Amino acid sequence: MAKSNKFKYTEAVREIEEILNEIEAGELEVDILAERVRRAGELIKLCREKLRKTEEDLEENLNEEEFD
Amino acid sequence: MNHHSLFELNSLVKNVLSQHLQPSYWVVAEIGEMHLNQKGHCYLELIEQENDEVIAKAKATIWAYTYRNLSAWFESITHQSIQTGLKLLMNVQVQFHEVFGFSLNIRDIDPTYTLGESEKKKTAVLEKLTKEGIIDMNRELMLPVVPQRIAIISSPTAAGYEDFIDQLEKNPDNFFIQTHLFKAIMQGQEALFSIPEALRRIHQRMNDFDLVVIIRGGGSQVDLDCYDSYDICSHIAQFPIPVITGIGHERDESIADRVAHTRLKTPTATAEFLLIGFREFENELLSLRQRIHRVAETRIENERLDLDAFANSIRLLSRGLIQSNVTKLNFFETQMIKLPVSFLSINRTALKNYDERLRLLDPKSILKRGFTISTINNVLLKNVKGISMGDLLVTQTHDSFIESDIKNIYQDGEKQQI
Repeated sequence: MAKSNKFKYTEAVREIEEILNEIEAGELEVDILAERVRRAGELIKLCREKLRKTEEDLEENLNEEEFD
Repeated sequence: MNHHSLFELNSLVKNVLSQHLQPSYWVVAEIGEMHLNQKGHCYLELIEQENDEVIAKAKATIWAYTYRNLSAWFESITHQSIQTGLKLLMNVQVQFHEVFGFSLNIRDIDPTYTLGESEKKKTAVLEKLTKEGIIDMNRELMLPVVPQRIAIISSPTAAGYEDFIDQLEKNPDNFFIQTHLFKAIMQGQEALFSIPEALRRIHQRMNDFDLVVIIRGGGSQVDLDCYDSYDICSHIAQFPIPVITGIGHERDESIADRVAHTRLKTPTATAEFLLIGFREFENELLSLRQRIHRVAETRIENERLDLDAFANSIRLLSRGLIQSNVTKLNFFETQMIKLPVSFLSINRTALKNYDERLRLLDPKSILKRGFTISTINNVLLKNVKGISMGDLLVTQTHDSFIESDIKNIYQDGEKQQI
Protein backbone atom coordinates (compact mmCIF):
# COMPACT_ATOMS: atom_id res chain seq x y z
CA MET A 1 0.00 0.00 0.00
CA ALA A 2 2.68 2.42 1.01
CA LYS A 3 5.11 3.69 -1.56
CA SER A 4 7.90 1.18 -1.91
CA ASN A 5 10.54 0.11 -4.35
CA LYS A 6 8.22 -2.63 -5.46
CA PHE A 7 5.72 -0.15 -6.85
CA LYS A 8 4.60 -1.37 -10.24
CA TYR A 9 3.07 1.18 -12.55
CA THR A 10 1.17 -1.35 -14.65
CA GLU A 11 -0.29 -3.08 -11.60
CA ALA A 12 -1.27 0.27 -10.15
CA VAL A 13 -3.06 1.26 -13.35
CA ARG A 14 -4.82 -2.10 -13.43
CA GLU A 15 -6.01 -1.54 -9.87
CA ILE A 16 -7.20 1.97 -10.72
CA GLU A 17 -9.18 0.54 -13.62
CA GLU A 18 -10.70 -2.11 -11.36
CA ILE A 19 -11.79 0.52 -8.88
CA LEU A 20 -13.16 2.59 -11.74
CA ASN A 21 -15.15 -0.38 -13.03
CA GLU A 22 -16.49 -1.07 -9.55
CA ILE A 23 -17.67 2.49 -9.15
CA GLU A 24 -19.01 2.54 -12.69
CA ALA A 25 -21.12 -0.55 -12.03
CA GLY A 26 -22.89 1.64 -9.47
CA GLU A 27 -23.31 -1.18 -7.00
CA LEU A 28 -20.50 -0.18 -4.71
CA GLU A 29 -21.49 0.06 -1.07
CA VAL A 30 -21.13 3.52 0.29
CA ASP A 31 -19.19 2.12 3.25
CA ILE A 32 -16.33 1.15 0.96
CA LEU A 33 -16.68 3.90 -1.66
CA ALA A 34 -14.58 6.34 0.34
CA GLU A 35 -11.96 3.71 0.94
CA ARG A 36 -11.83 2.83 -2.78
CA VAL A 37 -11.65 6.44 -3.88
CA ARG A 38 -8.87 7.10 -1.40
CA ARG A 39 -6.98 4.11 -2.70
CA ALA A 40 -7.47 5.22 -6.31
CA GLY A 41 -6.31 8.72 -5.40
CA GLU A 42 -3.21 7.33 -3.76
CA LEU A 43 -2.41 5.13 -6.73
CA ILE A 44 -2.91 7.98 -9.19
CA LYS A 45 -0.57 10.11 -7.12
CA LEU A 46 2.06 7.36 -7.07
CA CYS A 47 1.67 6.87 -10.80
CA ARG A 48 2.17 10.57 -11.42
CA GLU A 49 5.26 10.55 -9.22
CA LYS A 50 6.56 7.55 -11.12
CA LEU A 51 5.99 9.34 -14.43
CA ARG A 52 7.74 12.45 -13.19
CA LYS A 53 10.64 10.37 -11.90
CA THR A 54 10.81 8.50 -15.19
CA GLU A 55 10.85 11.77 -17.06
CA GLU A 56 13.69 13.03 -14.88
CA ASP A 57 15.63 9.83 -15.50
CA LEU A 58 14.99 10.24 -19.18
CA GLU A 59 16.35 13.77 -19.21
CA GLU A 60 19.31 12.73 -17.12
CA ASN A 61 20.23 9.65 -19.12
CA LEU A 62 19.61 11.02 -22.58
CA ASN A 63 21.26 14.29 -21.86
CA GLU A 64 23.17 15.65 -24.84
CA GLU A 65 26.26 16.68 -22.88
CA GLU A 66 26.63 13.49 -20.92
CA PHE A 67 26.30 11.40 -24.02
CA ASP A 68 29.41 12.77 -25.66
CA MET B 1 103.17 -27.10 -85.09
CA ASN B 2 102.13 -23.59 -85.88
CA HIS B 3 100.43 -22.03 -82.90
CA HIS B 4 98.92 -18.79 -81.50
CA SER B 5 99.48 -17.19 -78.25
CA LEU B 6 96.34 -16.81 -76.09
CA PHE B 7 96.46 -13.10 -76.69
CA GLU B 8 96.57 -13.68 -80.44
CA LEU B 9 93.61 -16.06 -80.22
CA ASN B 10 91.59 -13.66 -78.10
CA SER B 11 92.50 -10.83 -80.48
CA LEU B 12 91.32 -12.99 -83.34
CA VAL B 13 87.99 -13.67 -81.63
CA LYS B 14 87.69 -9.98 -80.87
CA ASN B 15 88.33 -9.09 -84.52
CA VAL B 16 85.94 -11.67 -85.88
CA LEU B 17 83.22 -10.49 -83.52
CA SER B 18 83.76 -6.85 -84.32
CA GLN B 19 83.76 -7.52 -88.03
CA HIS B 20 80.70 -9.74 -88.12
CA LEU B 21 78.47 -8.25 -85.45
CA GLN B 22 76.42 -5.08 -85.73
CA PRO B 23 77.38 -2.21 -83.45
CA SER B 24 74.43 -3.00 -81.16
CA TYR B 25 71.50 -5.35 -80.63
CA TRP B 26 68.15 -5.11 -78.85
CA VAL B 27 68.06 -8.11 -76.61
CA VAL B 28 65.63 -9.41 -73.97
CA ALA B 29 67.07 -10.95 -70.84
CA GLU B 30 66.44 -11.31 -67.13
CA ILE B 31 68.80 -9.93 -64.54
CA GLY B 32 70.25 -12.92 -62.71
CA GLU B 33 72.62 -11.00 -60.51
CA MET B 34 73.74 -7.40 -60.27
CA HIS B 35 75.94 -5.21 -58.13
CA LEU B 36 77.31 -1.71 -58.18
CA ASN B 37 80.92 -0.99 -57.47
CA GLN B 38 82.24 2.05 -55.65
CA LYS B 39 82.71 4.03 -58.81
CA GLY B 40 79.07 3.53 -59.74
CA HIS B 41 79.63 1.00 -62.48
CA CYS B 42 76.99 -1.68 -62.64
CA TYR B 43 77.95 -5.31 -63.16
CA LEU B 44 75.29 -7.80 -64.08
CA GLU B 45 74.73 -11.36 -65.02
CA LEU B 46 72.00 -11.70 -67.63
CA ILE B 47 70.16 -14.97 -67.97
CA GLU B 48 67.39 -16.55 -70.00
CA GLN B 49 65.30 -19.24 -68.44
CA GLU B 50 63.04 -21.83 -69.94
CA ASN B 51 60.98 -23.94 -67.56
CA ASP B 52 63.11 -22.75 -64.68
CA GLU B 53 66.25 -23.84 -66.38
CA VAL B 54 68.93 -21.42 -67.43
CA ILE B 55 69.50 -21.79 -71.13
CA ALA B 56 71.74 -18.75 -71.66
CA LYS B 57 73.95 -16.55 -69.54
CA ALA B 58 76.13 -13.49 -70.20
CA LYS B 59 78.06 -10.95 -68.19
CA ALA B 60 77.00 -7.34 -68.73
CA THR B 61 78.02 -3.88 -67.63
CA ILE B 62 76.42 -0.48 -67.44
CA TRP B 63 79.01 2.20 -67.01
CA ALA B 64 78.46 4.64 -64.19
CA TYR B 65 77.42 7.66 -66.26
CA THR B 66 74.91 5.64 -68.32
CA TYR B 67 73.65 3.82 -65.25
CA ARG B 68 72.83 7.03 -63.40
CA ASN B 69 70.72 8.33 -66.29
CA LEU B 70 69.15 5.03 -67.21
CA SER B 71 68.19 3.94 -63.72
CA ALA B 72 66.49 7.25 -62.91
CA TRP B 73 64.52 7.24 -66.13
CA PHE B 74 63.61 3.58 -65.77
CA GLU B 75 62.33 4.13 -62.25
CA SER B 76 60.29 7.17 -63.22
CA ILE B 77 58.42 5.13 -65.80
CA THR B 78 58.15 1.68 -64.28
CA HIS B 79 58.19 2.66 -60.59
CA GLN B 80 60.74 -0.01 -59.95
CA SER B 81 64.47 0.01 -59.83
CA ILE B 82 66.65 -2.03 -62.08
CA GLN B 83 67.01 -5.12 -59.99
CA THR B 84 67.46 -8.85 -59.91
CA GLY B 85 64.53 -10.76 -61.37
CA LEU B 86 63.48 -8.07 -63.81
CA LYS B 87 63.11 -8.83 -67.47
CA LEU B 88 64.56 -6.03 -69.60
CA LEU B 89 64.70 -5.07 -73.24
CA MET B 90 68.21 -3.65 -73.63
CA ASN B 91 70.31 -2.16 -76.32
CA VAL B 92 73.66 -3.91 -75.96
CA GLN B 93 77.02 -3.76 -77.58
CA VAL B 94 78.80 -7.06 -77.72
CA GLN B 95 82.32 -6.76 -76.38
CA PHE B 96 85.20 -9.11 -76.19
CA HIS B 97 88.22 -8.22 -74.16
CA GLU B 98 91.41 -10.17 -74.30
CA VAL B 99 91.57 -10.30 -70.48
CA PHE B 100 87.94 -9.98 -69.32
CA GLY B 101 86.38 -12.01 -72.11
CA PHE B 102 82.84 -11.83 -73.43
CA SER B 103 80.47 -9.26 -72.06
CA LEU B 104 77.58 -7.05 -73.08
CA ASN B 105 77.71 -3.34 -72.52
CA ILE B 106 74.25 -2.02 -71.92
CA ARG B 107 73.69 1.37 -73.51
CA ASP B 108 69.91 1.72 -73.33
CA ILE B 109 66.87 0.06 -71.76
CA ASP B 110 63.29 0.21 -73.05
CA PRO B 111 61.17 0.55 -69.90
CA THR B 112 57.85 0.05 -71.74
CA TYR B 113 58.84 -3.57 -72.28
CA THR B 114 59.22 -4.06 -68.53
CA LEU B 115 55.90 -2.30 -67.96
CA GLY B 116 54.24 -4.75 -70.34
CA GLU B 117 55.99 -7.62 -68.59
CA SER B 118 54.73 -6.57 -65.20
CA GLU B 119 51.22 -6.17 -66.65
CA LYS B 120 51.43 -9.74 -67.89
CA LYS B 121 52.63 -10.92 -64.49
CA LYS B 122 49.79 -9.02 -62.85
CA THR B 123 47.23 -10.66 -65.10
CA ALA B 124 48.70 -14.07 -64.36
CA VAL B 125 48.53 -13.46 -60.60
CA LEU B 126 44.92 -12.24 -60.88
CA GLU B 127 44.02 -15.33 -62.87
CA LYS B 128 45.66 -17.59 -60.32
CA LEU B 129 43.84 -15.93 -57.40
CA THR B 130 40.57 -16.19 -59.31
CA LYS B 131 41.11 -19.83 -60.20
CA GLU B 132 41.88 -20.68 -56.59
CA GLY B 133 38.61 -19.01 -55.59
CA ILE B 134 40.25 -16.74 -53.03
CA ILE B 135 40.28 -13.43 -54.86
CA ASP B 136 37.12 -12.06 -53.20
CA MET B 137 37.41 -13.79 -49.83
CA ASN B 138 38.56 -10.78 -47.84
CA ARG B 139 36.20 -8.45 -49.68
CA GLU B 140 33.25 -10.58 -48.67
CA LEU B 141 33.99 -10.22 -44.95
CA MET B 142 31.78 -7.86 -42.97
CA LEU B 143 33.50 -4.70 -41.89
CA PRO B 144 32.86 -4.30 -38.14
CA VAL B 145 30.57 -1.37 -37.36
CA VAL B 146 33.10 0.34 -35.14
CA PRO B 147 36.54 -1.22 -35.65
CA GLN B 148 38.42 0.13 -32.63
CA ARG B 149 41.24 -2.40 -32.45
CA ILE B 150 43.45 -2.02 -35.44
CA ALA B 151 46.48 -4.05 -36.45
CA ILE B 152 48.81 -1.97 -38.59
CA ILE B 153 51.31 -3.41 -40.99
CA SER B 154 53.80 -0.69 -41.81
CA SER B 155 57.28 0.53 -41.26
CA PRO B 156 57.63 2.53 -38.03
CA THR B 157 59.84 5.06 -39.78
CA ALA B 158 57.48 5.65 -42.70
CA ALA B 159 55.89 9.07 -42.92
CA GLY B 160 52.65 7.34 -43.92
CA TYR B 161 52.53 5.48 -40.62
CA GLU B 162 52.98 8.70 -38.70
CA ASP B 163 50.28 10.41 -40.75
CA PHE B 164 47.91 7.57 -40.00
CA ILE B 165 48.56 7.55 -36.25
CA ASP B 166 48.43 11.34 -36.15
CA GLN B 167 45.12 11.48 -37.95
CA LEU B 168 43.58 8.91 -35.61
CA GLU B 169 44.93 10.40 -32.41
CA LYS B 170 43.93 13.94 -33.21
CA ASN B 171 40.40 13.04 -34.25
CA PRO B 172 38.17 15.89 -33.02
CA ASP B 173 35.49 13.55 -31.66
CA ASN B 174 37.99 11.85 -29.34
CA PHE B 175 37.05 8.42 -30.55
CA PHE B 176 39.05 5.75 -28.81
CA ILE B 177 41.12 3.70 -31.22
CA GLN B 178 43.64 1.08 -30.23
CA THR B 179 46.43 0.40 -32.67
CA HIS B 180 49.21 -2.11 -32.69
CA LEU B 181 52.05 -1.91 -35.19
CA PHE B 182 53.33 -5.06 -36.80
CA LYS B 183 56.61 -3.96 -38.32
CA ALA B 184 57.36 -4.99 -41.86
CA ILE B 185 59.49 -4.04 -44.80
CA MET B 186 57.07 -2.36 -47.12
CA GLN B 187 58.76 -2.50 -50.50
CA GLY B 188 61.09 -4.49 -52.68
CA GLN B 189 61.92 -8.16 -52.60
CA GLU B 190 62.07 -8.31 -48.82
CA ALA B 191 58.44 -7.24 -48.56
CA LEU B 192 57.45 -10.49 -50.23
CA PHE B 193 58.38 -12.31 -47.02
CA SER B 194 58.02 -9.52 -44.51
CA ILE B 195 54.37 -8.63 -45.14
CA PRO B 196 53.06 -12.23 -45.09
CA GLU B 197 55.12 -12.73 -41.94
CA ALA B 198 53.44 -9.74 -40.30
CA LEU B 199 50.03 -11.14 -41.31
CA ARG B 200 50.99 -14.43 -39.68
CA ARG B 201 51.84 -12.65 -36.45
CA ILE B 202 48.48 -10.88 -36.49
CA HIS B 203 46.75 -14.16 -37.19
CA GLN B 204 48.20 -15.62 -34.00
CA ARG B 205 46.28 -13.07 -31.93
CA MET B 206 43.42 -12.54 -34.29
CA ASN B 207 40.82 -12.10 -31.54
CA ASP B 208 42.57 -8.93 -30.44
CA PHE B 209 41.83 -7.11 -33.69
CA ASP B 210 38.86 -5.93 -35.71
CA LEU B 211 40.78 -4.86 -38.74
CA VAL B 212 44.16 -4.90 -40.47
CA VAL B 213 45.50 -1.86 -42.29
CA ILE B 214 48.47 -2.12 -44.59
CA ILE B 215 49.95 1.34 -45.04
CA ARG B 216 53.04 2.84 -46.47
CA GLY B 217 53.97 6.13 -48.01
CA GLY B 218 56.45 8.87 -47.88
CA GLY B 219 59.33 6.69 -48.94
CA SER B 220 60.61 5.84 -52.36
CA GLN B 221 57.95 5.27 -54.96
CA VAL B 222 59.85 2.42 -56.56
CA ASP B 223 59.84 -1.28 -55.93
CA LEU B 224 56.16 -1.52 -55.15
CA ASP B 225 55.70 -4.49 -57.46
CA CYS B 226 55.49 -6.64 -54.36
CA TYR B 227 51.87 -5.44 -54.04
CA ASP B 228 51.14 -7.28 -57.26
CA SER B 229 52.83 -10.45 -56.12
CA TYR B 230 51.01 -13.68 -55.47
CA ASP B 231 52.87 -14.15 -52.18
CA ILE B 232 51.49 -11.01 -50.57
CA CYS B 233 48.11 -10.88 -52.30
CA SER B 234 47.09 -14.48 -51.60
CA HIS B 235 47.75 -13.86 -47.90
CA ILE B 236 45.70 -10.69 -47.91
CA ALA B 237 42.86 -12.31 -49.83
CA GLN B 238 42.59 -15.21 -47.43
CA PHE B 239 43.06 -13.23 -44.25
CA PRO B 240 40.08 -13.90 -41.95
CA ILE B 241 39.59 -10.32 -40.80
CA PRO B 242 39.08 -7.36 -43.13
CA VAL B 243 42.21 -5.79 -44.59
CA ILE B 244 42.35 -2.16 -45.70
CA THR B 245 45.15 -0.96 -47.95
CA GLY B 246 46.56 2.53 -48.00
CA ILE B 247 49.70 1.98 -49.96
CA GLY B 248 49.89 5.06 -52.14
CA HIS B 249 48.08 6.77 -54.95
CA GLU B 250 50.96 7.17 -57.38
CA ARG B 251 50.19 4.00 -59.20
CA ASP B 252 47.24 2.20 -60.68
CA GLU B 253 45.33 -0.15 -58.47
CA SER B 254 47.58 -2.94 -57.30
CA ILE B 255 46.42 -6.52 -56.81
CA ALA B 256 46.75 -6.00 -53.06
CA ASP B 257 44.22 -3.17 -53.44
CA ARG B 258 42.02 -5.44 -55.52
CA VAL B 259 41.91 -8.30 -53.00
CA ALA B 260 41.78 -6.15 -49.87
CA HIS B 261 38.41 -5.52 -48.25
CA THR B 262 38.72 -1.80 -48.88
CA ARG B 263 41.26 0.10 -50.89
CA LEU B 264 42.22 3.64 -49.99
CA LYS B 265 44.79 5.83 -51.59
CA THR B 266 46.81 7.04 -48.64
CA PRO B 267 47.31 6.32 -44.94
CA THR B 268 45.58 9.65 -44.20
CA ALA B 269 42.61 8.64 -46.33
CA THR B 270 42.54 5.30 -44.50
CA ALA B 271 42.38 7.01 -41.13
CA GLU B 272 39.68 9.36 -42.39
CA PHE B 273 37.68 6.42 -43.74
CA LEU B 274 37.68 4.81 -40.28
CA LEU B 275 36.77 8.07 -38.56
CA ILE B 276 33.90 8.68 -40.97
CA GLY B 277 32.55 5.24 -40.10
CA PHE B 278 32.79 6.11 -36.41
CA ARG B 279 31.06 9.41 -36.96
CA GLU B 280 28.24 7.81 -38.90
CA PHE B 281 27.76 5.29 -36.15
CA GLU B 282 27.69 8.02 -33.54
CA ASN B 283 25.16 9.99 -35.54
CA GLU B 284 23.04 6.90 -35.78
CA LEU B 285 23.24 6.51 -32.01
CA LEU B 286 22.34 10.16 -31.54
CA SER B 287 19.30 9.87 -33.73
CA LEU B 288 18.26 6.66 -31.98
CA ARG B 289 18.61 8.45 -28.69
CA GLN B 290 16.40 11.25 -29.98
CA ARG B 291 13.80 8.76 -31.09
CA ILE B 292 13.86 6.98 -27.74
CA HIS B 293 13.54 10.33 -26.04
CA ARG B 294 10.61 11.32 -28.22
CA VAL B 295 8.81 8.01 -27.90
CA ALA B 296 9.34 7.90 -24.14
CA GLU B 297 8.10 11.49 -23.74
CA THR B 298 4.98 10.72 -25.74
CA ARG B 299 4.40 7.60 -23.73
CA ILE B 300 4.71 9.44 -20.44
CA GLU B 301 2.40 12.16 -21.71
CA ASN B 302 -0.18 9.56 -22.74
CA GLU B 303 0.04 7.85 -19.38
CA ARG B 304 -0.45 11.20 -17.72
CA LEU B 305 -3.54 11.87 -19.83
CA ASP B 306 -4.85 8.41 -18.94
CA LEU B 307 -4.32 9.10 -15.25
CA ASP B 308 -6.13 12.45 -15.60
CA ALA B 309 -8.99 10.63 -17.28
CA PHE B 310 -9.05 8.03 -14.52
CA ALA B 311 -9.08 10.69 -11.86
CA ASN B 312 -11.91 12.53 -13.61
CA SER B 313 -13.95 9.39 -14.12
CA ILE B 314 -13.51 8.33 -10.53
CA ARG B 315 -14.49 11.78 -9.36
CA LEU B 316 -17.58 11.94 -11.58
CA LEU B 317 -18.72 8.40 -10.93
CA SER B 318 -18.17 8.69 -7.19
CA ARG B 319 -20.16 11.88 -7.14
CA GLY B 320 -22.89 10.13 -9.09
CA LEU B 321 -22.89 7.26 -6.67
CA ILE B 322 -23.03 9.62 -3.70
CA GLN B 323 -25.76 11.65 -5.38
CA SER B 324 -27.92 8.59 -5.97
CA ASN B 325 -27.51 7.64 -2.35
CA VAL B 326 -28.45 11.15 -1.29
CA THR B 327 -31.57 10.90 -3.48
CA LYS B 328 -32.42 7.59 -1.82
CA LEU B 329 -31.98 9.15 1.61
CA ASN B 330 -34.14 12.11 0.65
CA PHE B 331 -36.86 9.71 -0.46
CA PHE B 332 -36.59 7.86 2.85
CA GLU B 333 -36.84 11.14 4.67
CA THR B 334 -40.01 12.25 2.90
CA GLN B 335 -41.47 8.81 3.41
CA MET B 336 -40.64 9.01 7.07
CA ILE B 337 -42.57 12.22 7.31
CA LYS B 338 -45.47 11.12 5.14
CA LEU B 339 -46.04 7.60 6.38
CA PRO B 340 -46.66 8.30 10.09
CA VAL B 341 -49.13 11.05 9.18
CA SER B 342 -51.22 8.78 7.02
CA PHE B 343 -50.87 6.05 9.59
CA LEU B 344 -52.31 8.36 12.21
CA SER B 345 -55.05 9.58 9.96
CA ILE B 346 -56.12 6.02 9.24
CA ASN B 347 -56.31 5.33 12.97
CA ARG B 348 -58.12 8.51 13.58
CA THR B 349 -60.86 7.53 11.12
CA ALA B 350 -61.14 4.14 12.76
CA LEU B 351 -61.52 5.74 16.16
CA LYS B 352 -64.17 7.99 14.79
CA ASN B 353 -66.12 4.95 13.58
CA TYR B 354 -65.84 3.30 16.91
CA ASP B 355 -67.09 6.42 18.54
CA GLU B 356 -70.03 6.59 16.19
CA ARG B 357 -70.88 3.04 16.73
CA LEU B 358 -70.64 3.42 20.50
CA ARG B 359 -72.81 6.43 20.35
CA LEU B 360 -75.46 4.49 18.39
CA LEU B 361 -75.43 1.78 21.01
CA ASP B 362 -76.00 4.20 23.94
CA PRO B 363 -79.63 3.48 25.45
CA LYS B 364 -80.21 7.17 25.80
CA SER B 365 -79.94 7.69 22.11
CA ILE B 366 -82.26 4.70 21.55
CA LEU B 367 -84.81 6.27 23.93
CA LYS B 368 -84.48 9.52 22.04
CA ARG B 369 -85.45 7.77 18.83
CA GLY B 370 -88.77 6.75 20.53
CA PHE B 371 -87.92 3.40 22.05
CA THR B 372 -88.94 2.79 25.70
CA ILE B 373 -87.86 0.52 28.53
CA SER B 374 -90.41 -1.24 30.65
CA THR B 375 -89.83 -2.61 34.16
CA ILE B 376 -91.98 -4.28 36.71
CA ASN B 377 -90.75 -4.11 40.24
CA ASN B 378 -87.41 -2.75 38.86
CA VAL B 379 -87.01 -5.85 36.73
CA LEU B 380 -86.58 -5.30 33.03
CA LEU B 381 -89.65 -6.59 31.23
CA LYS B 382 -88.58 -9.16 28.76
CA ASN B 383 -91.38 -11.73 28.84
CA VAL B 384 -94.79 -12.16 30.46
CA LYS B 385 -93.75 -14.87 32.84
CA GLY B 386 -94.59 -14.04 36.43
CA ILE B 387 -96.70 -11.02 35.49
CA SER B 388 -100.00 -10.58 37.35
CA MET B 389 -103.09 -8.48 36.83
CA GLY B 390 -102.77 -5.18 38.50
CA ASP B 391 -98.96 -5.15 38.55
CA LEU B 392 -97.44 -1.73 38.23
CA LEU B 393 -95.65 -1.30 34.95
CA VAL B 394 -93.09 1.50 34.78
CA THR B 395 -92.31 2.76 31.29
CA GLN B 396 -89.26 4.92 30.79
CA THR B 397 -88.98 7.35 27.84
CA HIS B 398 -86.02 9.58 27.09
CA ASP B 399 -87.33 12.27 29.41
CA SER B 400 -90.03 10.70 31.60
CA PHE B 401 -91.36 7.71 33.58
CA ILE B 402 -94.94 6.53 33.09
CA GLU B 403 -96.72 4.29 35.56
CA SER B 404 -99.62 2.09 34.37
CA ASP B 405 -101.60 -0.95 35.55
CA ILE B 406 -101.61 -4.19 33.61
CA LYS B 407 -105.14 -5.13 32.37
CA ASN B 408 -104.63 -7.82 29.75
CA ILE B 409 -101.72 -9.72 28.24
CA TYR B 410 -101.74 -11.01 24.64
CA GLN B 411 -99.28 -13.46 23.25
CA ASP B 412 -99.34 -14.50 19.57
CA GLY B 413 -102.80 -12.89 19.26
CA GLU B 414 -104.39 -14.85 22.12
CA LYS B 415 -105.51 -13.45 25.40
CA GLN B 416 -103.54 -14.99 28.30
CA GLN B 417 -105.15 -16.10 31.55
CA ILE B 418 -103.52 -14.38 34.35
